[in-house]
Amino acid sequence: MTRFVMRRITGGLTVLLGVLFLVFALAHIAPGDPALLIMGLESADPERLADLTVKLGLDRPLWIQFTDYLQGLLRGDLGYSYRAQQPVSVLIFERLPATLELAGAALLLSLVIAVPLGTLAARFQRSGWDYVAGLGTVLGFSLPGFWLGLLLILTFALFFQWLPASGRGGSLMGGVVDLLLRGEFRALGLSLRHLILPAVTLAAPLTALLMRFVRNGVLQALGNDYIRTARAKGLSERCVLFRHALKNALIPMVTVLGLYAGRLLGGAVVIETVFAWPGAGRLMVNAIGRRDFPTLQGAVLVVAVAFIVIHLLLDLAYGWLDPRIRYE
Amino acid sequence: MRTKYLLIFFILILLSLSGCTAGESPETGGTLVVGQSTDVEILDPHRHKDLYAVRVSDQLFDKLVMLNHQGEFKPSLATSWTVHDDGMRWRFQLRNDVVFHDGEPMTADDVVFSLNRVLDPEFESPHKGDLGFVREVRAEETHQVSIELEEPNGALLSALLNVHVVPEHAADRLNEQPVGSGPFVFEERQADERIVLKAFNDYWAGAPMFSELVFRPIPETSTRLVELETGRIHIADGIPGEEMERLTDLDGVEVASTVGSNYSVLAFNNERSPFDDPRVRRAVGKAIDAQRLVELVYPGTAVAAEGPIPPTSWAYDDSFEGLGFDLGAARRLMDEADVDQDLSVELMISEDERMERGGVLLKSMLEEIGMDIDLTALEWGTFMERMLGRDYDMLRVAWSTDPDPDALLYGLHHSGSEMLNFTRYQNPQADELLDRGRRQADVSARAESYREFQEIVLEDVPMVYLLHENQVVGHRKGVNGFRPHLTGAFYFKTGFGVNTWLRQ
Repeated sequence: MTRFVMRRITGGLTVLLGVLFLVFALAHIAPGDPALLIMGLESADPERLADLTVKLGLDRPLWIQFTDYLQGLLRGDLGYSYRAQQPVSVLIFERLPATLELAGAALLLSLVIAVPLGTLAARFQRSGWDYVAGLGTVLGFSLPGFWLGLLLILTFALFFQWLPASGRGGSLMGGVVDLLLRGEFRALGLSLRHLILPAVTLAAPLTALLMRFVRNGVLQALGNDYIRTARAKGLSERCVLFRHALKNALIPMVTVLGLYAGRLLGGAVVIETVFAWPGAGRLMVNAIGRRDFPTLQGAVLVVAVAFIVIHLLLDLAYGWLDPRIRYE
Repeated sequence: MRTKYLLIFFILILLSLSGCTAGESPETGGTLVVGQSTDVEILDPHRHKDLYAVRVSDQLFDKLVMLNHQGEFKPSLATSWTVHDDGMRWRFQLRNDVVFHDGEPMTADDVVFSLNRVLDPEFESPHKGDLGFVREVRAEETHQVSIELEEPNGALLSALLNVHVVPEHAADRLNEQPVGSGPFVFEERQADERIVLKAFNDYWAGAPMFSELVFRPIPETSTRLVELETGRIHIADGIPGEEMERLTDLDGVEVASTVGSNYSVLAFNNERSPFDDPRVRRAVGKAIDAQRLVELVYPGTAVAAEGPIPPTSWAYDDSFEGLGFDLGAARRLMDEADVDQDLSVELMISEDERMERGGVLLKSMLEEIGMDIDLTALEWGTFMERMLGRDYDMLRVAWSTDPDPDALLYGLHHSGSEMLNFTRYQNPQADELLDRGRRQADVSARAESYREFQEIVLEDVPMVYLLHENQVVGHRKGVNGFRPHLTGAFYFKTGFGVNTWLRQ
C-alpha cells in the first residue's frame, strides 16, 4: 500500500514536471510579447519595452528562465505576476476558496440528484420515468454552460427576481461558522443564494453523466446471481437496490468523477465569467490573454496538483469500494 | 375673464415647478454600486494606466488639475497656475485645506514626491512617458510647487491629469491600503469580487452625497445588464450599441453618453505596396462611408469622424471637412494608380464583436473599388505585436488617450515616434506642426497648428479617420447628477460642481 502510494507520488511529480514544461513552452512559443502587453499601446516606446523585457527577465534564454522558475518552485515560490504586480500564490489562494466552494457545491448537487434518480431509472427500466430521466441526461449533458447559465439568470434573476444574477455573497464557510456560533442564518443564506445558480449550471453536465453511469451500472448489477440470492433471502427491494446493486455500480461512477474533477476545478471558466464568480478559472484564462506567464503557470500547477491528488484518492477508494482490488 | 385664466395658468406653472423641486431635492446616504467589465487589480495609482483602475483611483486620490465635462481645465488640488520663463517653468498654487484620509495635511512635499515617484526610472511607472519633458519639480513654499521643463510644453496640464497625488508618509502600502485625499476612503478589496469605498467626510470640496461606493467586476455583458435591470447595480459600463434602444425603453434605467476623446482608424502600412501610393490610400478613404459604419455597427455609441480631433477637444474645428464618401472619385483614383487587377490585401482587426462586424462592412465597401480583402481577426496580444512590428497591410484600431491633441496626434503621426508611428507616415511639414503645437503654451496658437496639421494629413491620408466612440453607460434613474466623463472616467464628487446623489 505504502509502496503503491509512493510510486503514484513519483509518477505524479513526473506528470507535473511535464505539465509545467508544456505550459511554459506553449506560452513562450505562442505569439504575443508579455512586455508589450504590460507596456500597453498608449505608452509604447522602444526604450520602455527594452527596460520591461529586462525587468521581467524575458531577455534571458528560455531554458534559464525555466530552470529559474523550477528552482523558485522548490523554494515554494510561485513567482510574481507581471500584471497584478503581486505574488502569484496570493492571487491563486485568494480565489481558491471560491473555486472549491463552487466545485464542492456542484459535486454534492450532482451526487444527490444523480445517484437516487439513476438507480430508480434502472429499477423502472423502460418506464415513463426512465425516458424522462434519459431526456434529462441528454439535455444536461449537451446544453452549453454559458447558454444554460444565461437562461437561468434570465429566468430566476430577471423574471422571477428570486436569486441574484452574479457575484459571491461572502464565504460559505463564514456563513456556516456564523450559524453555528451565533445562530445567525443571514450570512449563510446570502452565500447560498449566490451559490445556487452557478452551482446548478456547473452541476448539470456532471449530473447527467453520473445518472447515466449509475443507471447502467445498477442495470448490470441487477442481472447478477447475488441479486437473485438477495431477493430469494427475502430482503426488501430497497435493500437489494441500494445496498447490493448500487454499491457495485459505484466503481465506474468513481472513475467518471475522477476524470471530471479537473473540469470542476479548472474548467469552470465559462460559468465563472457568466456569473462573475471570483474563482481561479477566470484568473487562469485572463492570464493567457494578458501573457501573464507566471500566473498562468501557477494556476495550471495548482489545478494539476489537485487533479493528481484526487486521482490518487480515488484509486485508494477503489480498494475500499471493492475489497477484491489490492495494491501491491 | 382673461386675467382669471392667466392666474390659473400661473398657479399651474408654480405648482408644477414646486413639484419638480420637491421631487428633485437631493437625498443623502445610500450605497452606489458600479458594475465594470474588468476587475481592478492595482490600486496604487502610479502603477496602472487602465481605465477601470483609473475609475477607482479617481475616487481615492486627487490630481492637481481636472478636466470638466466641457473639456476645460479646472482647479483641483491646485487653485491656480502661472507660466514663467517663456513656458519653461510652471508654478502651481495649492489648496491649504486638504487632508489625507489618515488626517495628515497635504503639502507641496507630497506633490513633489508624487511627481518624482512617477518620474523615477527605477519605479517604472506607466505614466513616466507622459512627463518625459519634465526636468525638475520643486516645493517653493508649503503650498506652492514649481515644475521646470526641458523645453516648453503646452501639454503639461493634460499630462498632469495622469498624476494622482499620494501622501509621502503612506506611499509604501498604496497597493494594499491606499490612502489619498479623494472623496472616498478605501475600505476593502476582494479579488474579482468587489472594491468597497466609504465617503470621506473631511473632503475639501465637501463630503460626497452617498455614503458607500462599490465597484464590482461583472465580465459578461448580459449578466451586467440583468444586474442593472434588477437594480442590484446602479451603473453599468460597456453598453453594446444594439442594447441601447431596449435599455432606454426600460422603466428604471437611463443611458448616458458622452462623445469620447478618441479616434478609430483604418491604418495603412505606408511602406507596403499598394499603400505606398497616396492615391490608393485616398481611394480607400473615399470608398468608405463612415456614417453607414456608425449606423450599422455603432448605433448611438459613436459619431463619424472628419479628422483625428474629436468634437470634445478645444482644438476641434467644426468647419474642417474630411475626405468624404465618394465612390466615383475613389474608382477614378484606383484607375489612376493603376494597381494590379486581382489585388488582395489583408485587413487585420482585433477579436472584438464590433471590430469584426465593422470589418465585414469595410470589406464589402472596399470590394466596390476592386479590392479583395482578406479579413484576419487576431487576439489582442498577437494583434499588437504585429501592429507595432509593422507586419500588416491594413488594420483597424481605436486610439484613446489623454484629451490633449498632442497626446492624441504626436505618437501616431510624428516620424520621430519610433514605435507608435506604425504606419510609417513621414512628412517633415506634419512633424514641424506637431512640434510647434507641443511647444506653444497659448491655446489658440496651438489650435491653429493642429488645424494646419489636419489639412496636411487630409492630403497625405496616412490612415482613414473613421469615428469617435462615445463613452456610454447605463444607470438607474435614481442616480442623479452623473454622466461619464469624456475620458471614460467616473466622477461622483469634484471641486468643479459634480455632486452625484442617490434616490433611495
